[in-house]
Amino acid sequence: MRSPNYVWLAGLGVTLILIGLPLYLFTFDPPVAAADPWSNVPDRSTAGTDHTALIKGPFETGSDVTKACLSCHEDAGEQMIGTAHFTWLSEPEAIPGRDGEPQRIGKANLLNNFCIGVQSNWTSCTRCHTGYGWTSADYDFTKTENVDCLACHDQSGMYVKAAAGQPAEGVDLVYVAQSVGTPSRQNCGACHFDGGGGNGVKHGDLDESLYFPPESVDVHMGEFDFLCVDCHQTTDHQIKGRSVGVSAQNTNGVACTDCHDAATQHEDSRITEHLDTVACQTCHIPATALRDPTKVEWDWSQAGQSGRAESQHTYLKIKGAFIYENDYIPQYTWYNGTVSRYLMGDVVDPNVVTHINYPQGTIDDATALIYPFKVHLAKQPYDAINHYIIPPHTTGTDGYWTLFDWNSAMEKGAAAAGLSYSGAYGFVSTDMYWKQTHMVQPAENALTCTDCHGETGRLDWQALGYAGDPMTWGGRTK
Amino acid sequence: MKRLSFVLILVGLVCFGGAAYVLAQESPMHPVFPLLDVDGQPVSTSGNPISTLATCGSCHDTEFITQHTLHGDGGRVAAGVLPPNSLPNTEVDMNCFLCHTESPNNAARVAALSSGKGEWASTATLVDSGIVTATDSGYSYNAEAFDAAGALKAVFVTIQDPRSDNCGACHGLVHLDNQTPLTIAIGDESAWRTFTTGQVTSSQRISNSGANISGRDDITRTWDVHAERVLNCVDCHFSVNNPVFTEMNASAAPEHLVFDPRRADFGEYLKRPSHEFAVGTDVMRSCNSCHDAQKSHEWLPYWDRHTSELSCESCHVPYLYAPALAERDSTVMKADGSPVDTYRGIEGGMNTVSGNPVSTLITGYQPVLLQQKDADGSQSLAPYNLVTVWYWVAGDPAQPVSEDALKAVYLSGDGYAPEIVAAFDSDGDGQLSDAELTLDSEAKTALITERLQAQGQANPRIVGEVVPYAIHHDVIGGEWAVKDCQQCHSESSRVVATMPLGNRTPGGNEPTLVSDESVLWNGSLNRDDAGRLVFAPETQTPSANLYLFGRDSVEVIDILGVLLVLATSLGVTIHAALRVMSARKRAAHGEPAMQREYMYSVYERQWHWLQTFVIFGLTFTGMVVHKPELFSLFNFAWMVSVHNVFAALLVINAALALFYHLVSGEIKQFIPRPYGFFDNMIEQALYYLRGIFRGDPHPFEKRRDSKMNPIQQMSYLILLNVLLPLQIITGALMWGAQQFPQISQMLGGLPVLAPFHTLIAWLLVTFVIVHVYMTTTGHTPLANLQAMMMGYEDVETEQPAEHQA
Repeated sequence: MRSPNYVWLAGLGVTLILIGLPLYLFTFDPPVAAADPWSNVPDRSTAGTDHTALIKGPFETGSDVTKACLSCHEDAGEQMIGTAHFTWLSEPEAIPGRDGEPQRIGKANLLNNFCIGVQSNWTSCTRCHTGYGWTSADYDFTKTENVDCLACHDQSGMYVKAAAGQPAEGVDLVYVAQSVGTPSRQNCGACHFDGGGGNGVKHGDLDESLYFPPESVDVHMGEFDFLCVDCHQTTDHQIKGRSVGVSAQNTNGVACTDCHDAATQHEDSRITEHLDTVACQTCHIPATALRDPTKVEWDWSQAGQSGRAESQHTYLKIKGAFIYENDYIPQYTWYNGTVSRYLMGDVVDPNVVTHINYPQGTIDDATALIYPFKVHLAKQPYDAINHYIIPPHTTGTDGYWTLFDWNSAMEKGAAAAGLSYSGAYGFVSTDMYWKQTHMVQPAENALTCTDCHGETGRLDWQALGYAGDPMTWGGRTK
Repeated sequence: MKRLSFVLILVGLVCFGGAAYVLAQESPMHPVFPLLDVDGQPVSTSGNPISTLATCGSCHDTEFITQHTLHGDGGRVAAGVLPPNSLPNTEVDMNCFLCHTESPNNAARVAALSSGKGEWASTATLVDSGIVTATDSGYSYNAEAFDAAGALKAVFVTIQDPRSDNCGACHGLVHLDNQTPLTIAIGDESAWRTFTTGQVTSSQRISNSGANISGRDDITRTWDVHAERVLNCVDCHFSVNNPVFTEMNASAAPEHLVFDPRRADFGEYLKRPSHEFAVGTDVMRSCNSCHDAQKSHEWLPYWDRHTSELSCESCHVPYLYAPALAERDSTVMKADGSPVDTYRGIEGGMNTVSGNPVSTLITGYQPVLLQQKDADGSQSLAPYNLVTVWYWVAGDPAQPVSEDALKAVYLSGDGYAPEIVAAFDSDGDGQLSDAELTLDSEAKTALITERLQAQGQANPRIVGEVVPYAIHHDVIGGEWAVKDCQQCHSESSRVVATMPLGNRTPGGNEPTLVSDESVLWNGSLNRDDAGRLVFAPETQTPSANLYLFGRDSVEVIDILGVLLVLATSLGVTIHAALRVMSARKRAAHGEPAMQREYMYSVYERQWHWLQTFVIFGLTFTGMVVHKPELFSLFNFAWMVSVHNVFAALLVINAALALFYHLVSGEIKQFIPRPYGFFDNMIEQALYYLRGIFRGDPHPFEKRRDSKMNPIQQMSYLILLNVLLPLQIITGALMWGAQQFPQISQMLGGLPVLAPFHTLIAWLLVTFVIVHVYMTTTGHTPLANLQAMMMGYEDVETEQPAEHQA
């Protein structure tokens, strides 16, 4: 005979199934497992190694510190000298709109429309070089002791770089070296927030407000206290990320979708539909330069005027006239990840605006999305006869900032850049595009329909290639 | 070249910065035209006022337009001034420019009207447009705006379709620019809809607005989801012959015709556009014209029930974040001739900075839900603001006392009449504050009455009315709508949330609820705990027949139920105690002869225990639905659906069991034998009252084929034939309020069914208590329970000889 207990348990089971199954079928909505964006964020709950006891000193020079670092971190030097942070050059890359071999481009050999060019101005520009002693074209990029470990790893806040990237007078190298750790926002910000010669000058979406940003300035750093390197993740000192200011191809980029699953993120299917044409940044970065203004125009042709009232945000005798903007509403254009690039010696047409870099892609390019950009306009000096832009020699006792002599500055700059100078200079209009990708807002501050669509929208649909507002005229077909 | 122009455009965009986003003003298609005066002469040469009928009438059929419009008075004054005042009756042209240019000068228009220059009103609307300049003596036309032939130059032709801000100029606050923070001018009567209800039309997020709203930073919703989604006023309030929106004779179309392409073409429409705009749900697009709401409300149980009783706005306009008029006291008068207004949705009174109430803390308010009569004759709850208005009437029949007559009573010269100051200035500062301006004493009322009579007003008296203002805008999407069941299904239900009215009682009067044909007053005036006058909606009124689960209950039933359960519990406890005591006193006497019998088949046990679980589940979930506050841990909607699933299980299980009992013949056990039944019942009852304490054996043997004693048979007869069926039927009908509302309604609807269901639930709970206790009366306390679990029970083998009835 079967055990009565067994029957009882079986009965109980049957009863529970009879109740549970209909309940499950008719009342439960199975929860949808959402992708966890945190899964891609490094865990920094464990502190790094305290180097206080490990580093003794004394150190005479920055390179002495580097040697001490390399005595334990044996591969770090070799890793570093291959990075763009040290070479200021990319890996060879094809440049849209140009034939020929892929070439290495970067800060070292390019022009911009801010302070224009590094060549002939090395000593001053290389304050932001992750190395020591770059003062000329002859700099030795193979010596690992030339690497500056402290620029990125100092956590004391007491490390300052001076001319040619050397530690500034009075820096306590032992104290600084003992503090090393994971790069903080301060390490990256010291150069990247102040790019172009001051706070917020270049990027628009990167400025000193990001050292301690509130949530309303940047949701990642403000609400969640992200470090730069939480997104710009680093392997063997190769830091992920790229800027359209110095690279042409979309390699090594950081994307929102590295962590966020945009396709499932939006409840409204109409928003999801936008992902085919609109970058995340377009809606989620409604404006940049939220706290500190960014430079949108720079007129070098007005430089050198004596007696004109000077202010960092309007006019400086050494640099010319500026326009800054706060709460910068980006410009929107198609962008497929690549930009064109003005290279040293390219001929310019003084009657049109020369693009230093220009986002590639059109409405017909299926890989292109509408992205937000900060556009920086400039009037910058060029060779009026040879019709190319020359990076003037501005710094140092013999530079324009001291002598206010354009001919001298152009001649010295041209020589350093390997160009010849005709002796006649003029000013040519240029623009530069800076992708706006930081200062991401909390979702509830993203753009809404009317920000782009309807009578008050911010997009110029016809300039983008549409017949009219796609809400009423239809979108692009792929 | 194309590329070059693109570049130049981009450069232009950058150079002009934000200004580049303001699109070109010039009309893309409207041809140039001369501005004509009433004689058809160009005003550029005649200098006369513009006649819109002549100007626009050269192409458009202005006669047709003026005959087909509600805006034909030229938008003379903001509508609906309270109390009804006599308005200057100026014959003015319909003002085309007010709605069809981008930046009409409404202030100049109003100034022209109020200064008696009504014929210049259309001209004044163009002041600052570059066409017209206001001068000391009137208006002049700027010669450079006209070409040699007297036609407007193309750049000045800014004719456009009406935008929402055109409508907003008179109807309420409309703010279309997301970049400029929105501010609210509290008490701005020209923004009538905002003034009376707090409705604001804007695509801006409230958190980005410049209004001083309590908790603003967290209110990241936009003011109005339709504005956010790029809809204009005229998308719903379209011209009734606009061929894009309108299908003529739609109701006459045969059923098989989905779309009738025969309609006015655009030329015909442009020639004779009707300026009657769709209003009211019969003509206008209602929510359902665009939304198949059921598809987005899959989460909402009882969809039909909810949507038949609630308008969409009830949940989708849950709160207004702008102040609204609460009370207008026109029995008194401020020095500027205006009445004393008080607002709801502000805290700490009105703070003004240089006359602008920007720093007033705005808390917003929750609208009251009234029964709104819909165009199709149905009714549903919809949000309203209630404004209490006080004003003087005189004569027979009563006519409102005019503003001028009241001015003569209160004012004299540049200020108040001395008698008025003497009577009202209680703090003696020579000024009359809003608080002082109130007819709160008989002396003051008598003074004003007397002065009105001196004006020749016969029998002046005060009227107080509570006027409902419907709220259909400021709609928000699902994320911010009322979704939590307990916002309505609880003691503090939104559905019956009271709305405080004013604090004034001029002349000692109480206001009355104004009769309004679009509203059924589903409630009454009341005083709250603080003594303030409130309107208190109720669920069960002649106009509304609602039973709100979780909120409504019949108190008597619950009290009776609790008493019944308590008394029963007490009874069985005493009975049990007596049994224990008597068993202790009694010497253990010999166990009667026992025999192990297979009492309950597997199926019998299975259905019994399933029913046990289900009944406990039903009881518990039913309690949660009945009083959600007591079980706030549990999700209301989920409990409702669990209750329904359990109910279905109960019915199925009961049906299967009935089938089993019928087929197996076991049913006989439940049917009492008529012969001697009452004797047997009494015998069994006496056993429970007496024998059980003496350790007597049971009067009736329990056997496999006769498990029930007579009392059990009687109880089950009632349970299975009366209580359970009634509970199932009432429950099914309550569920049916969604599925087959007519039948439920026939039987009294939820207000009858639900309390009945509750009553039977109490009785069933009582039964369960007794039933469980009775299982302990076997030969050992657990014997019956064991039998129901294992199937086997030890039963006494023979009828004891000493047993006596």
